[in-house]
Amino acid sequence: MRIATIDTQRDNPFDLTKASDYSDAQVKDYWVDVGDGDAQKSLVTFIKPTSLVPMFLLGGKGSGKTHLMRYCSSAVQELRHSNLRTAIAQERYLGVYSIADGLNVHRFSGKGQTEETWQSVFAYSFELWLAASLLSSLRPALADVELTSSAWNEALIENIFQLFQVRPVTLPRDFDELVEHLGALRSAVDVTVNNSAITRQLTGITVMFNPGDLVFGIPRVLAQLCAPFQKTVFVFLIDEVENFTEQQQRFLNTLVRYRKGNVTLRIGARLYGVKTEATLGSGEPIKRDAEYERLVLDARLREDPSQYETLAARLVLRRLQTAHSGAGLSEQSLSDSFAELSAEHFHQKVAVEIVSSRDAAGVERPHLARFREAAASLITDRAIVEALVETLRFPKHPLLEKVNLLAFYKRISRGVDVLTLAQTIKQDSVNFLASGAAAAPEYHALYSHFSSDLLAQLYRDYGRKPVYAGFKTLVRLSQGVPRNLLSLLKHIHRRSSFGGEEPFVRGKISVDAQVQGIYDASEWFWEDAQPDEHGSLVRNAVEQIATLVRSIRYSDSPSECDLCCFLINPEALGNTSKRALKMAENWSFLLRVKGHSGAKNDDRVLTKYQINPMLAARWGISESRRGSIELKKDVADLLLGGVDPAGAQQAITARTETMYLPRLLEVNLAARASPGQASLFDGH
Amino acid sequence: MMKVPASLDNEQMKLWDALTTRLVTLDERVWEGKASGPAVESWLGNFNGRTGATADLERLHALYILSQFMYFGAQEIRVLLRALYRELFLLPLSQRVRAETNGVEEFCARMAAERAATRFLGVGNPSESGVHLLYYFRQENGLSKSAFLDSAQIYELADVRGQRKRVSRHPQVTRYIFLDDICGSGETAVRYSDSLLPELMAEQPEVEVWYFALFATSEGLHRVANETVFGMRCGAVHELDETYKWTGLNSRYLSALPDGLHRSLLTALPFLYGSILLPGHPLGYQESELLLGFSHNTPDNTLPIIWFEQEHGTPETWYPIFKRYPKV
Repeated sequence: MRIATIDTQRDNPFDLTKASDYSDAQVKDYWVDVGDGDAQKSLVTFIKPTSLVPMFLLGGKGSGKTHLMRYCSSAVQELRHSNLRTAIAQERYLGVYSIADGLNVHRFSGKGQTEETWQSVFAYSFELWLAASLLSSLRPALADVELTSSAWNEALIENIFQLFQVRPVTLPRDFDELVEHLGALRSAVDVTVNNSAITRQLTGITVMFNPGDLVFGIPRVLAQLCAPFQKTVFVFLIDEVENFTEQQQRFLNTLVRYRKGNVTLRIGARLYGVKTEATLGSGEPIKRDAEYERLVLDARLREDPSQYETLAARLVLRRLQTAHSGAGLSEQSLSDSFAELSAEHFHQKVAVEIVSSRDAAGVERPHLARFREAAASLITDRAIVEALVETLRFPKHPLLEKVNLLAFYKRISRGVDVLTLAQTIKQDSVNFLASGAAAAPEYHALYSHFSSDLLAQLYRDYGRKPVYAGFKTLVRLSQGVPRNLLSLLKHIHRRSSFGGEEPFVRGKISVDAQVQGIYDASEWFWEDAQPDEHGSLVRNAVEQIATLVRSIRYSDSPSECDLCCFLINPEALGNTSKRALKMAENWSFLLRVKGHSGAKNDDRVLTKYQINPMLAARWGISESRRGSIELKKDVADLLLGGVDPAGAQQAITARTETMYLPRLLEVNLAARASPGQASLFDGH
Repeated sequence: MMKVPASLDNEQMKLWDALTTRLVTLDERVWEGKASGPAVESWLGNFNGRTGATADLERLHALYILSQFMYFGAQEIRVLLRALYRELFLLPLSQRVRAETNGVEEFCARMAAERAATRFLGVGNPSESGVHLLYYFRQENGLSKSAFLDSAQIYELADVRGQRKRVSRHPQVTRYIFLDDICGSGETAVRYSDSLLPELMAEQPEVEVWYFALFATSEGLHRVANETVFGMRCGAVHELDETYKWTGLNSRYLSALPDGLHRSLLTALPFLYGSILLPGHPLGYQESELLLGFSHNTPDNTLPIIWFEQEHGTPETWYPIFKRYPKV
């Protein structure tokens, strides 16, 4: 008897598989959608297969580009409808999927030939490839009445060879021979190209048609000769175009510009994959929106969080279903499989659990010890220092104790007597605990803004990893990239299984397993990206920014809550910093937050970036996008430029010094004499 | 889940996390799922502060010991068996034969004859690991069943000048190769040499007897070379030098420790608990101090804290992490 569970130790339903490795059947089987059968809401509408406007489909690694494009391919269309002809009739398009990697594009360069020669040979070979792919894709949709009709075959061959300027001595006799003929032409080119490293020649290649004539001409002929395809849009789905060289992309751009008739293109590439917008000849760039559309898949998914959450839940359920696991789980109940931290009584239970062991051992809580030491260095009367510590202390509620201290740091510059201030805060905390927000609004504001940061500090002070847990958190961490979500779940699953749990089968996945899995996934994400020759520049830049953000989060008085964003004027940056920023975005270490933000104090337009939440665990920073800081040019260049690590460290210290004890108290006590402008959390 | 003990300091807690991460990967990729979290937790529970350190600190150190455990799964053993056949037997034989022959034909004929005159035997009785390996050894190296013997088949009883005597059952066999998984102290080889082989060697002095192990300590091999009839005809695929001794002066495990660990506790821990479990051999049989195991068994040369359990004969309740199936 087969037990309907999985071997949790060995069989991880979330093991990563790239869509490029799927069979056509797997592409169909693993597909999940958000449309609930409504074609208008389907993810397929993202790439508008029946629109004639070409589209560049971009996205980070694992954002689902390949899966989406392959889902629109003829092979999967056929699986969806059991018959390609029916599929084309219903969906009104034929998807011709090709993957650029299969061309071995690096062959078309060097070997003693000019760039211009290669451009021409590549364009010829590539178009033959596309033409043969088109005909092969369409073959299952042709009826016997067409394939066996001599008249139809003759007309087809005649019409297609009218697109050629050089006709072969013997014409193919039917459709299948035509496909073979195109294949043979391409093979002949391949042989010459492959041997050119030895021969240093490309003789024997005769370009037999004008660029674009087959790509745009054959679909026109097919529409003329086959009534069912008269209104069909022929979509060339060309994937992994980042593998093309700049020159090769120019040819693709030229096809986009001179698109004709019933043909269109969907071009898939990584974020950084488009190397040029120039076309062949004059090099004039193609125009976005006028000549093509651009869709960044993960950004599009991020725009609608609830849609992405639905997609994420369905993705997880589909994986579990395929692994014969997760019986009885639904989109609604999936989140119940994940344990979460108890927020009851303002995280009291959690906070007490963190501190209890060292409390019992008589070790003073680190935040109180730091406060005592700093206060003692500035206030000569030891009794006052002790009174302050005792007043702000809240033994049964370690998190509110930290809120007390934060409130003290935030308000101390106001000039109120320090003991009175401490007593007021103490009273606020008691009222807040007893009667809620209304009883202590200022205290509540501080708690609601900073509680997650203060809890993270508490974890850190006690040698523990800050907690990220719950399905919604995982969805947020994955940031619209399904592969990120799968990676998170893969690592969580293995941690949970190792811990003896039965994830998605019995009980909840513990917070510990989630935390460990998320940290593992974060490391994977950091290591997995290989930002080519600029790798160290980019990693260093992101590391510096993250260090600044972390320094603020774990300071005694953070200037911002849940900080993971920064505002910057990219145009003002030096070239190296600009490159680092661009590469970090291309490799999804940083995410550009849609829209621009004005600087706080003037009308400069700044761009907002977020450290990818997949990396949040690596530095223990927040995954929530609440606070942001502005990086002025000088600091930004130091952090991003990578040429002056000591300078970068100094800049971080300078920026955060007054958020840390004892400088924090020193500065604020000094400010009591000349009160400055109240900050956001300076109360009333 | 293996929760980080809160009594450790922050540095040690970080190390605990790192070691746990290592164990997750080891269990998944190497240990064939034999040491999952609950099993590790049970094993860690054995350490309860008897060294004078806190139980949590002992457990952190035990976790480090476990993280250094070398495990050879079924796949690895098969690869090692191929290596043993090729590197220790076939290649040296080919080199010798090549030097003594002219031309391919003669070489091939001689090799065939040499192989036909060779028999492989497991060390120990048919239920023991040395013999157990023969099945995989035959599969991996594409050998015929006839290339193998049980040690009882070396001799037969015959009337020699009116006396019942053990004589060689296969006089055409000129080479006996004994295989073992591990040669720790060399004791097994010495025993075989003393009890099984003297008559054979006396009767057929031209017979070659060889002793090969997958793993052998340098000390063990030295003893085999000096105290047995195998002499220099012994070898191992993987020789474990003195750096593999857990508490040795040049111990590879203790040479560069992560912050938060104490060398003294790392040496005291296996010794103290080992003394309770196996007073005669607290650090493994004949003080081998090894830290390795196989998919089919854990050798007694490994630290007893790893494999010991109550059925080995002690009142102490002890949960092994890698079981040893004893020779009863």
